[in-house]
Amino acid sequence: MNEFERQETLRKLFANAVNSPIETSDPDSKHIIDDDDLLLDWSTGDLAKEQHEAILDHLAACPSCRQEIAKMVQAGALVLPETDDSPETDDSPFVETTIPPGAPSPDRQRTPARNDRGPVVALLVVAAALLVAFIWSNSGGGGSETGRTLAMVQKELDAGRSVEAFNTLDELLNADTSLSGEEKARAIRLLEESGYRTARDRLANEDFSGVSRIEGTVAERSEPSARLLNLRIQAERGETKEHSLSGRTSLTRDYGYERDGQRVIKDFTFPQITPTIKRITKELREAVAQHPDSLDLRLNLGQFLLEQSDFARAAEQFAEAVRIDPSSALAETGLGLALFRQDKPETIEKALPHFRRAVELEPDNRETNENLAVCLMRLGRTEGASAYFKKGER
Amino acid sequence: MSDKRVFEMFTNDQQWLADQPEMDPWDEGCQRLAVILDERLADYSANVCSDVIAKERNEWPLYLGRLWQCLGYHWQHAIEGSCNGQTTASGVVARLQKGKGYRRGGKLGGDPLRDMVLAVAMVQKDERAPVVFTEDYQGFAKGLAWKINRRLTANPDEWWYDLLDHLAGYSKPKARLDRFLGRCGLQNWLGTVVWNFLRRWDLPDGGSDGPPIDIPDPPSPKTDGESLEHFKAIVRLAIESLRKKDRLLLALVYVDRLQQNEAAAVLGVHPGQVSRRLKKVLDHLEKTIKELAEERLSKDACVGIFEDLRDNPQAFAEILRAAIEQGREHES
Repeated sequence: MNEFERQETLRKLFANAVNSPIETSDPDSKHIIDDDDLLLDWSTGDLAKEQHEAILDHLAACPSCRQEIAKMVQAGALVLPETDDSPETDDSPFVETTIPPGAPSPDRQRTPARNDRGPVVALLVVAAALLVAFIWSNSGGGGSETGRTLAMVQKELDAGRSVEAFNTLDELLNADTSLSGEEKARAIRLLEESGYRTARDRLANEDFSGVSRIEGTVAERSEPSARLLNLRIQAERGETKEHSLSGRTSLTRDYGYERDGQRVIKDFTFPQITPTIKRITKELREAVAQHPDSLDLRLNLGQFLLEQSDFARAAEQFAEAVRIDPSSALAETGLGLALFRQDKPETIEKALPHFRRAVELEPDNRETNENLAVCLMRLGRTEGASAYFKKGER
Repeated sequence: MSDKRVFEMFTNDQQWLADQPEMDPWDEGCQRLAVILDERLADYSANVCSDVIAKERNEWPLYLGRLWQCLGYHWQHAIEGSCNGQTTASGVVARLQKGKGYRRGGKLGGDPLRDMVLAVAMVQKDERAPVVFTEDYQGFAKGLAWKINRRLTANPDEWWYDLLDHLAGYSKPKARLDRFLGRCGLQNWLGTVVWNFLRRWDLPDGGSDGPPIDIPDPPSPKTDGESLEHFKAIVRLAIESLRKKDRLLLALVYVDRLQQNEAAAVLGVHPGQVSRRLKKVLDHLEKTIKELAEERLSKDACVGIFEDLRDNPQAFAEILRAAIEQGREHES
């Protein structure tokens, strides 16, 4: 039985347990689910630690509240605060009572009566889980099972279920110390891939702390991943795109140039070097030094410098990006922008071939066509420009 | 509300507010703050109310007071999170407008200042407010209704107008939105309030909430009865000796099928802890049950039980459940 079959078996058992309610809760006790204000305090993070503990105590003892809370969380009706603290290793004991080896027959040794159903459901759940685990370990499962698990993870990944794949791999690597070198290497490769895809989705959904967590989890186990590091820095910047430059490539709409290539200065402000900017710059530079051939990091460092009006250094980064991937229209556009924005005749002339190359790479892109047209206009080549303006408008 | 009364409103928070650089000197700072709030009120009320709530209107002090209640709450959180204990009101406003707060995660589910104006307008029975409210939140409420009970979505108007009444108090003395404090956006707030409202909503009889779940009849187990009873007791013993929080974790993840990050949020722990703890708990229980089974059951009995489970886990769950019910009867 592989990990997926094991999980599926557990799921069925739990579903059965849930669908067979045993109403033994005290009907007079106050249910937290009925207390809107308490739930709202929980949601906004305004609960005292003792209150939170009291809620957990209640949930452990009241399956109806627990199930309703779980449904609310899943439905997005109850948005609970994330815990950003660094993960702690919880080495506290598992058991409240110890079971002596020579204890009487367990069917006669019963813990004190409980007036709730929570442990009952958990009992079903965990008993099933453990029995399945027991079968697994008694049936000679091991290396080959791990291989099947990894194959299933690959299928999950291929089917676009990267979160599930990531969680399974995380658990597998946490748990199984008997992985062979090859299996471990494969698991780590898949962890990086699923982590990257999950983190990219989280970034798009503004779950920035989620991105950091994933990057941290992968970094614990594998060689540093440039693309995950890039996503983590993007999350720190509060960016939702993998490449900040994408969506900010238009000379006219994003950088305040008229169609004739003249700059319209409306809201000019001096670039401010705040501690955050310094920190991000430092992080990006260190990341690039660590991964000099990462297109993602070069593009984002270039864009970050462009944002700070440090055009010459931005051009250096984009030139490296072009070297790394000559087929990247974004890199060519970035280089064109960094040169054009230096606002000198010679640099604008140098920007032209890069804007032209970007059009060759992405001929149907509105921004690449318009940028080339604007650059041509600025250089006084108005006849050539109109065709690209038209193409951009199409 | 005169300037004096506006200042009094700020004076109640002077203890923390006076430390902020833009509040120095105090009177001028209060003036600036009042202008910021008034600008927000004018802007938001133009969008959600029938008329702009200007200083001349009777309701102006009420709106301004509620806006300050909201801004003050988030400003204090911003101060807690800043490195030097100082932030600006305009900075906090700008962040809130993006629906971001200062607590963990930071997602507020909307701009609480704008939502506060809408909430007060609803309670004040502004004519336009329910129209805006319906445009903004009816879809969200319908989505929740679908998850609570699909029958609710068959005719959403039936409950939607009752919900508006519950929130704005059209036919009742109390309006639930009066208790909206702006600590989060309306969407997050409504999530809880609407959920509980719809959960208690009396649906007309008839129909069912989805197809019934098919649970097969449990076949007879291969294992002999005595060994099975011993085994169930072993499992029960191991489980009941677990920490309450660990049992809750197992139930949240396996019974309720929460994602690990969702379970972490419920438990108030870092998501990284959930995966590790879960594995440790299962490993620990596996070890405990193994030891007890080896001590108290024959090898043949163990194999029989495991085969039962492998062949029909649902049946095994039923047998377990029956055993638990018997145990409960015994306990009671």
